[in-house]
Amino acid sequence: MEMKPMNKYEFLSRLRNALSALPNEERDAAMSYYEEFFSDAGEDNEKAVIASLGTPEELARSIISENTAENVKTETESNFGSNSSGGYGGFTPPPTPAQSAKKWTGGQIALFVVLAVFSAPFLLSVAAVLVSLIVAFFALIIGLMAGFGGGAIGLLVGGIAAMFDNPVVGIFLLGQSLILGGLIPLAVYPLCKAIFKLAKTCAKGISALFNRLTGRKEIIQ
Amino acid sequence: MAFPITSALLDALVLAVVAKEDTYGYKITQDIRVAVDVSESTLYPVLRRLQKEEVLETYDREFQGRNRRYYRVTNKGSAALELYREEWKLHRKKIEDIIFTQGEEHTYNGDEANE
Repeated sequence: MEMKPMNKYEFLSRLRNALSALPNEERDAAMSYYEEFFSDAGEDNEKAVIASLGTPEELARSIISENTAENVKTETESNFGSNSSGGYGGFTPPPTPAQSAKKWTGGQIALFVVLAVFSAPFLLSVAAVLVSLIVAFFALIIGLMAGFGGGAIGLLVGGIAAMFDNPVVGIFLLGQSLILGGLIPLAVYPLCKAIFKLAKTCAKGISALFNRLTGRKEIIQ
Repeated sequence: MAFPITSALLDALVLAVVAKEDTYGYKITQDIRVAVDVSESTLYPVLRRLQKEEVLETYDREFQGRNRRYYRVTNKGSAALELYREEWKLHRKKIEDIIFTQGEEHTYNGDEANE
């Protein structure tokens, strides 16, 4: 807050300074409007007017933003068409202040590179663990398949060989082999499903971690 | 203020106030602040824009030894105001049709609702 109350002359001179970005014509128009505004409000209301207008700098910002918004608008389309018929009317939303596009500065890029380099050992070990996990799971699947498959083939060969000696035993062994063979997809399918689910969860977790890392970085800026 | 005012509605209010009689910035601000809660700093940019859009024009008169700038509605401005009035009637009817037709007890007795 201001230490001592401003009078209208101080207010107007600060407003003039704050409006220096505007073309002369625009600035003079705004200045004469507010000079008049103070005169019409009267000396008794001077303090109230100053209080309700906000700081001269805030007031200048609203004048300037409307001025630039208007320049952009007249280039495209106006509320009021070139003649009274047609497009005019409707309830247009209030103009929003121009939003500056989010752009990465050189400093931010440099910071990101430094972060990437320093976090590399950590990320590398995470990647190594993931790769070895994947390899282990595949080995498990292949092992299971080989075990069941080998058993099935053994029983099949044994069964065929036994056929000549004792057909009943042979058929029994063949049946066993078929059961074992059938177990392979039965055992491998849920396992594959479980592994894929695990992999998906891991991927989600990692992307969430990355989002948090990048999110935090933006807050630091 | 429960219902925020849009820039189009503010344009319509300014046009209507000036259409009643040629008037000046401070007076326009006070007249509009009777109805809607806009800050005193809101009106200048609106007046300036309406001037550029040629729905308002200004002329200067001497008042108590100083200059006072009066605003007046142009022909284009009168047409614009008429359109705003039509739009507003339509808008008001749509809103009121919903707001006042919840149940028998709350039936709105305005002209529009009695058709």
